[in-house]
Amino acid sequence: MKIINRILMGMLTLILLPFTAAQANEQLPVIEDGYSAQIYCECLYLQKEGDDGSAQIMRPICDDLYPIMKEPEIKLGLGEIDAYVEPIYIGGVLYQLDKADFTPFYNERWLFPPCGEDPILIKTLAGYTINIPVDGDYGQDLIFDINGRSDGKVMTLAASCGNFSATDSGDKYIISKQMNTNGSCSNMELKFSFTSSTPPALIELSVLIAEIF
Amino acid sequence: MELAKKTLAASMMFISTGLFAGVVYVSGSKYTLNKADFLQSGNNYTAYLEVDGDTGQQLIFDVDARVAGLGKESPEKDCNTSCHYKGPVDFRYVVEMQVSCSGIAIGSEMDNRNELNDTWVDDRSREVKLLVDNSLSTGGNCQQLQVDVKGVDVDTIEAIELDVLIGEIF
Repeated sequence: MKIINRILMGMLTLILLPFTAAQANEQLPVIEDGYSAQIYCECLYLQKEGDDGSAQIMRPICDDLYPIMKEPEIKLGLGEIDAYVEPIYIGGVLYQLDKADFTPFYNERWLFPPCGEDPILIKTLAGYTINIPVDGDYGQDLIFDINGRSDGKVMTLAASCGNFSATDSGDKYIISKQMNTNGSCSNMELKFSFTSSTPPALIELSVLIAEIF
Repeated sequence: MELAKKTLAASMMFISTGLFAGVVYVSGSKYTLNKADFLQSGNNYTAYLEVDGDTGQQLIFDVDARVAGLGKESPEKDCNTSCHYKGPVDFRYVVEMQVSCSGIAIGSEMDNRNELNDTWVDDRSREVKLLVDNSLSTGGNCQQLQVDVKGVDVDTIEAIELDVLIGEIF
């Protein structure tokens, strides 16, 4: 129960934020208690009437709202720019994987010695793989965010979980996808493959599977 | 109450078998930005994101970017004199990403697609991937995340795809 309380608190702080953020960001002149200039200018606004508590619909004149209608001035300083991007609030699980979490896999071939000795199995390192069980996909929109590096070793990363699949290659990997798998994501398979058999010195990969709320 | 229910549902999600050392449950915000969300100054691009909810807890920052554009060649391609210049041609495409929050450094990375060629390339389009990951406590001072994408040695930056995760562990 204690854990749940903490989670709730953490989530709530994050959820409440966008509103305060927009205000701090744009320094909107407040025209009337409770009505911001932004709303004022967008369409109609309600103006409170005197004492009786009724409200009257007003049509604004946007030109009067010079401070917010004007193009924002470009200043390179903290807190003065509002290229405001709406966040999406997420919760989920983040795996921080390194090479030791992965299992090597091999290409195998049999060599038949010419003089009739027993055949020899030759295994060549072909990549690394991991399977992560995933619970909780009941058909909601999910975010898959996979990124990491392999320190100069060029490999192809294939990620799949149910209907989700994506690949990226190089010595750094960025996969970011938002989708609905129709509840099919129950096992995330990550597979690094390469051609030359020298292994990467390191693998670092963070894997986020999250839902939006 | 509706909100609380939803939040609780979210919290109960992804109860995974804890097989791996580095598995944490996170909540937070994710941003997806492109070049239009950045403010441009020459070949330098800056984006600001408001961060709320930093009360001094451990924060996870996970910032990744693909930055595509045109590399720069030295000497420059000049078909007026000779289009068949035989090198060497120094091709450069160098981009750096710096991430900070309210003046506190989160991390930076620089990468390049530099080449030394025999002659001019046909296609100067290149892409680098830049990754900044960090987990730290800012003492509750992280209010505005700043991401600088700097074309250190490029002709142009044509596209930026940026993903930002700011989360807390619970």
